[in-house]
Amino acid sequence: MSDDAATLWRVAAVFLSLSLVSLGGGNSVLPEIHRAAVQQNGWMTDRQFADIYAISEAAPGPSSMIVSLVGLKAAGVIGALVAVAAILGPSSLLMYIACRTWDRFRDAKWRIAFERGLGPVSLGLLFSSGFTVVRSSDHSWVAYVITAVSCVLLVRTKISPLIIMAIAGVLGAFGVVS
Amino acid sequence: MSDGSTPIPRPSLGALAVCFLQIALSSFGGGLSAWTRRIVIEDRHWMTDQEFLTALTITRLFPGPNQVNMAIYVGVRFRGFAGALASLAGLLVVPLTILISLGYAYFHFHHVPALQATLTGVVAAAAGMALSMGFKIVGNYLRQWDAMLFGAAAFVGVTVLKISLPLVVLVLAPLAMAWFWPRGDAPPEQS
Repeated sequence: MSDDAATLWRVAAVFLSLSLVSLGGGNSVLPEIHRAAVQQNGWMTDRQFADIYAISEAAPGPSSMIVSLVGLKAAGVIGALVAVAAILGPSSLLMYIACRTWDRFRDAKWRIAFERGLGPVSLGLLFSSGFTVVRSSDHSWVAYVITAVSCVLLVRTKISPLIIMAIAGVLGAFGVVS
Repeated sequence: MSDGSTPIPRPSLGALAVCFLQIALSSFGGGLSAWTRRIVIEDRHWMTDQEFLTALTITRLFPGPNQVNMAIYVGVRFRGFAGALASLAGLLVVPLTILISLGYAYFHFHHVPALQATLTGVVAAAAGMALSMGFKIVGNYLRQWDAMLFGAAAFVGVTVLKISLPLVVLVLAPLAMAWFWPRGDAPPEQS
């Protein structure tokens, strides 16, 4: 087997093994991705990993798409596609099966109870993830103010979030935020 | 919020793909769940808030990125397997193309410091958006003390006591299900 093919297999193996353990959203396996990319396989430096993390957070789409950049560095564009297919394949298949099963019990009492009961629980979890994002995103009082203002505007007005983010981005570019 | 009598439209495969493309492209700097709620519920009325919350919890309980799972959930709900593929394509193809191009540029030409500064601002605003989602939905539950109690318990468990999310759900979900179990044959009321 050529080196290229071997690397491609390695990319596939790394991300296939992470697919079904990425519970609680893709970012829970971020430390594992880091270990595989930097220490285990030496595909990139620590600094490069931090940079591609920022890039993938800022780019549109699910943030776990960072795996495509690991694959890109390791084995080119094909590597990027293989990485994405590997990390999404098994979990997506499982989700699909779960959805099909879910649909069959549309009128079951336990499903009605599930939907009524899980709503409030999820609401609490929604606030929890909001707090987690705030804690990891904001590192200065200006950032907290921007977060608070953005939150209030989004709840109280119909202003598009894109406008709010653009303004915040301009403030950031002028060095106001950090 | 719609009452049960409003018929739910059944979007086409193209509409599903466009919907998730819109969600993906709106989410510069994160906040995909908030965008999903805004685009699927506020703009298109494809689901009620309650169904969205259920979907959100299912997508978070299963492995895989929440938004990818959400695309599968919505796609399957309206159009089965083809629907899931259409939603996934909408969510992933364009963002991946952009990200791989950015990555390519980064590995070949290196990074721009001004980008980092801009990002700190965008990320702060995005955090506000993540926070706003709960506040928008909480209105549906404010008058139900039991629902508020379950919500508060989940929040305290994860954020204050730092218990892992799957464990919190495994404990609270059965309790909430038992509490809200439908009694009699009356259809489930929507508030």
